[in-house]
Amino acid sequence: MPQENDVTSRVTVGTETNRDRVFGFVTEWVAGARPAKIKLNDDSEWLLADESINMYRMLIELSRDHKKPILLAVDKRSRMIGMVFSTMIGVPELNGEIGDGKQIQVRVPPSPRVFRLRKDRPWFNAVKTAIIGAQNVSDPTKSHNLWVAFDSVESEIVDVRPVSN
Amino acid sequence: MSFLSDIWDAIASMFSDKDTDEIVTTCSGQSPSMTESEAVEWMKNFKDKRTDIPFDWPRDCCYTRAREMANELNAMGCTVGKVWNYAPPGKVLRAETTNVKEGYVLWGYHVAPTVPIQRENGSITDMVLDPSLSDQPLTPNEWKELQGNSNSILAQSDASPYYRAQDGRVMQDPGDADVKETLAEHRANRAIEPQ
Repeated sequence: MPQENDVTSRVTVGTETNRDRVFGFVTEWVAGARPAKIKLNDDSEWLLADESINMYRMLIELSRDHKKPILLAVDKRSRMIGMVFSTMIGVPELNGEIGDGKQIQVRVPPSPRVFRLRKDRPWFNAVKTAIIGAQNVSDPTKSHNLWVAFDSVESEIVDVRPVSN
Repeated sequence: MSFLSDIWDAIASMFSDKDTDEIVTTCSGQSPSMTESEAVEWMKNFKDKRTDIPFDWPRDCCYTRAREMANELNAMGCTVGKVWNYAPPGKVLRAETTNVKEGYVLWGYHVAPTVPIQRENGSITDMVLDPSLSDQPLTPNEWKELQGNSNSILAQSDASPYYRAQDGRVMQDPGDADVKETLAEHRANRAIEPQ
């Protein structure tokens, strides 16, 4: 499973291809700059183009305001952000195959939302392994919550990370 | 004069200026129930009053809405429960809604509070109050029928679980501060929902 702030994994999400991704907490958000600038807790800085959809700006502000980490699909060379994903905390549950066996249904209680984990995504095995590991933790005193990054529009799980206490 | 006027105002304030059939006397006295019309009015008032609850955010938030409604109903003296509807494994519930662009939402489960309702025939039945799906109280089966899966599984509980898994495991109430933050997050998600 990718480690927190790991920027080596590659993502393919929606129409975006071969972007790097970064995961972290927003420590600084300069919305008025052109391009807008975001700083994460690993001190990395990323840029959001003026033409980026407003939803990405709102997701960044939501992450900052609620002190939740965020997942960014980025181009490391230009430092530009391609996509923004919010996170929720919980213990995801794998709930059977859907879509002709090409996806797995995932739920993150107490949310009633239904997410999918696509088998053709490069992160599929890592995410599935992490979810099974979290479900199998037998020590009730040990936190087994995960940060679950998701594409809200597509209802797709795009990453999970352990919650560090 | 002012003294008499103050007394008159105090007396007048003890009475409603509404017609007697409009006054909501829900769950008062010896009866922990309400009539169907009282339930309709309570749902409308609650929805209007609690603008912090995104009733127009059907993708999520049912468990938080149910918690807030149950707490208020309980404080009024109602005997409150919760009803849970679970999609079968690998399947989903599907509810029609005009609040998202697709015109429907998919859920793994759904929850809403129940209270005893005095029906017109005099019987008292536990009915579901779910302003996100209906302006009227519904029987659990009517409520289930709005969620598009005839094989879904209904379960009833008392009002205490914040979340109840289909196997009966429960997540207890996280407290007001946590719920307040969850509501703020759901309002924000409502705001960024593509229209």
